[in-house]
Amino acid sequence: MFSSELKKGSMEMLILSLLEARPRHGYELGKLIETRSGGKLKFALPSLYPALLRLEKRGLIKGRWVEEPGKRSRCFYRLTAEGLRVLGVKRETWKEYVAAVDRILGAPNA
Amino acid sequence: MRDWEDFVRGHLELPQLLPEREQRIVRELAAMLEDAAADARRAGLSPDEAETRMTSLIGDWTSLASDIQRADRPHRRPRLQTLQDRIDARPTGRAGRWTMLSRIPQDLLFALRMMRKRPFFTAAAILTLALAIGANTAIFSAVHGILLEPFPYPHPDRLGVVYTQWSPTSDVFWMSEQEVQDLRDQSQLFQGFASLLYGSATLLEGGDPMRLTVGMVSANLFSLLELQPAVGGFFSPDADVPGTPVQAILSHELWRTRFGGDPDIVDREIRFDSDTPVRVAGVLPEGFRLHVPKRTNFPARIDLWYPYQVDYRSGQRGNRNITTLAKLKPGATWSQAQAELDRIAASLREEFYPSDSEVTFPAFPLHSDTVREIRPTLLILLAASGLVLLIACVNIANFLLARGATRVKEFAIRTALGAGRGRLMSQSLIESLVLAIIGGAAGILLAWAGVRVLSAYLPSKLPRLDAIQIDAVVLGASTAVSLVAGFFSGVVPALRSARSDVNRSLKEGARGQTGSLRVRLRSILVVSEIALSLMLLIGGILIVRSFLNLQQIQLGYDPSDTLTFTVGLPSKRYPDDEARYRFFRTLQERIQGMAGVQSVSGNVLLPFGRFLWIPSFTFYHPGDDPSAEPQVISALARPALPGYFHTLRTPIAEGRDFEARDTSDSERVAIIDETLASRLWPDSSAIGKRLARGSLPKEPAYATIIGVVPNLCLTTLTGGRPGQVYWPAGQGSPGSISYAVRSRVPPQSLLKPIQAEVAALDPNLALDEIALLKDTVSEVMAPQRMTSVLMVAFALIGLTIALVGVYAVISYTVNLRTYEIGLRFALGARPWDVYKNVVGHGMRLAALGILLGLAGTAALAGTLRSLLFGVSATDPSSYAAVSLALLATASLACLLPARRAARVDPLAALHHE
Repeated sequence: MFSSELKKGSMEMLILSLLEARPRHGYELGKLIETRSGGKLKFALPSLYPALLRLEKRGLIKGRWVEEPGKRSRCFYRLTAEGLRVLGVKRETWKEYVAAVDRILGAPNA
Repeated sequence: MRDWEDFVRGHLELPQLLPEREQRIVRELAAMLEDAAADARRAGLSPDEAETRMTSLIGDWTSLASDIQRADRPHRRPRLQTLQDRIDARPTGRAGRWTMLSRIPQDLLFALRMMRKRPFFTAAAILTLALAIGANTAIFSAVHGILLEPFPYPHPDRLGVVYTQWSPTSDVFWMSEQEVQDLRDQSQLFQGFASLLYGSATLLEGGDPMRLTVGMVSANLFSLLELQPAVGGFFSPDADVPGTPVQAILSHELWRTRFGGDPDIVDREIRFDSDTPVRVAGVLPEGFRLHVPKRTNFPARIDLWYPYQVDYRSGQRGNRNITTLAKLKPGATWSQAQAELDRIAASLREEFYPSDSEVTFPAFPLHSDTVREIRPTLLILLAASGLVLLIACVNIANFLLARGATRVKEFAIRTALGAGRGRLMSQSLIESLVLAIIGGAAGILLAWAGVRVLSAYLPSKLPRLDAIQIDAVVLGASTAVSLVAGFFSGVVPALRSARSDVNRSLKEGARGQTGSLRVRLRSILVVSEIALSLMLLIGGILIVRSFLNLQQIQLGYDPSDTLTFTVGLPSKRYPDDEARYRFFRTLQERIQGMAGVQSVSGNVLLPFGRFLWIPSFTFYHPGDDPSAEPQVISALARPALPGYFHTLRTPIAEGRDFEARDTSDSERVAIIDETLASRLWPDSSAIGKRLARGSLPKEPAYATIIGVVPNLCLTTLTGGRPGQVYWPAGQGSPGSISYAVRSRVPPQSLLKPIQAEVAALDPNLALDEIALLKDTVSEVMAPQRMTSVLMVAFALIGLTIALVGVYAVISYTVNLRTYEIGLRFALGARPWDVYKNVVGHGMRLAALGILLGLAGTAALAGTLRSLLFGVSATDPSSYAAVSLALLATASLACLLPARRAARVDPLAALHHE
């Protein structure tokens, strides 16, 4: 529903913020994004997975294989210290951006 | 239940990733798909429906793969590895030769990977080889072009030059017309003789008056050379008979630049400053050059050719001004020809040369006589560059040996696992070959660039300058040299790598018995490097000292701040001495009056001028005894304008310079040089004595000597200087004068005003040979300068490489002996002892190398002799200085490893393996 440009810009921020609470694996992240946005944001696997790899390459998240009894082992990602810092910066930037756009949209035509 | 990993693996291709990484990604994606399928089943889909949906969850696998590979960059495989695997994955061929050959790409890749793992060593090795091979290629291109390539004429080996020689010890000289005619009449073995003379003329067509260099030759020259004209034809056989209408043959360049390549040039009449217009007979082929030895003084570039119209039988036998080109008949040899010429000389001697009873006519093959002077220099430079290459190869062998030491275990294991000795050897060899080929390619590029740059600085009088180029032969030689260098560098290390004793190697590694043998080998190599380097350095020092000595030669005049040019007067408009002298004097006075001119004068030939005046025979009176037979001497004799020696700043030893009053109306006077003065009148002053110009039987015209000057350096820096006699131009004016203008301002700035003055006096005249005297003299030294620069460059390159070798070997030894050094420290040795030990070892190696090098240099010193001036080939001070310097720098090279050794921690060392 939202344009791919908008989605691409925020995907990394969303992933980082979802990992803030606790480590999660890739499929779980995708599902969470869909459910928490009320179905409005859907990230297909082909875009989500490379994003995870990129974040891991930049050192913002770190993956670890976890064996669960009876289940296939999964790679759980957690936020690194650097990732936490970057998340904070991205949040601030996002807030400022939204506020700026709001000001323009809300202001009477002058 | 689907195996999701298989599914993913089947669809996702990640060739750029490492296997482990690929595995992890496949696992992860499989897990995600499995979770998604499970969710779909929970949502109510049947298992099959769920699976079908999942399989289409990822639509574009290719795009996903490229996104993943891009995102996963740090885990990418190195490209070489991918290439390697592709090759390994190929099905293996049949055993035998094909397997061997198919291994070569593998070995090549292996070599490339080894080189990439040691970037510094690889870069240093390639740079070393590039410099060495580049130097060799550049010098070889000169050797090939100048010494090896035959002249571009048909049957060049049958062409030669014939001279006259007074006695076996004197210099060779030109011939006279009579002598050439005698040879033509009496010789059986020669196809023909061509006479060559040169002069100038002013061309009055196609633009401003232009001074041309003219060759006056016998009509048979071009047919003797078997040339084909580019346009028209050559001289008719009777063209050199006096009275025949004069034809001219143009050089290709003159035809192109001055006449616009006019296709109708034949039979066109062109005007010169002399006589009647001349008809053009034809044009020479493009790029034609008459290559004759420098000692004939024949100009390298001729613009125009005339036939030399003279009655050969009626001229003076003593008037020697002809360069004689000769061609043997097919089948005749030069030794046979020389024997015949000796017989002819003997028969002429009886009749015509009673006092010069040793006159002969030596003949030399054209090519070898032309390159005679430059040959020793080129060969020595080639040898020097060869030495540099040898040092470079030895150095690389040294390094490969060292590297081999660290791989001893690896080789042992591979041998134990069945790798053949040949295989190991070929791998080692291939690495050094690859290094050499890359270095060789870089070297060829360096050489090509170097030759272009150097060509601009080479003396223009070098024979066959145009033939120096990197052509197919030079490229081929260079490639061969690279391969040989690669083989030579790699063969010793390769042999070492294959001969390792498997058991011992596995147990001891680099430190074992094989280690000490390796050290000995490396030490031998380093000693030889030092020896070769010493030879190069001594050669370089000797040549540089020679060059410096050359620069110190007393010229007898001051060439600075002096502009020179030549003005030639056509005989038609200036038919007698009076007319010519009037012109020359007027011009001299006008120039003297110009602003910025300090003094101006002239001579028919200035120092190192292009044209050599013909010496005339002079008489002198022995004492005051008029009845005594006047003795004949040969001297260089020249007319000069007033104030000549003052302008040249030549100190007058006795008497005075020529002055304006020395004209045809006043007493006949002459000035001679100190050499002649002391030879003719050793016990008294020459002033007031009398000298006559001319030759028997005419009435000699005596002149009184009014001045004595030092012997000037006029034609050669290092050769003997014949006696010099001067007379005033007012008492016998030549057809052309070379002016020397000493100025207070930059001399070039006077050129335009001078040209204006000349044009004002006579608009149909052109200046010629415009140069700064300083440049002219400097150019004479250009070959020696070039040789010095090159030798020093080679010597320094060789030295640097050798010192790096010393450093490496000492460093290596220190590493090997870490255990032992630690032990010494533990037993109470002080750092200073270790220092001494290490540096001492290095200096012993260097000393051995120096001794060997001194022996080698002394043995080969004779070859350098021809290049040296003022310094002996076995000059002890040079040898000693270089040896000490080398010893000092070698010990410096040992300092760093010595420092490392002195800092060894005993505890760590004792545990070192």
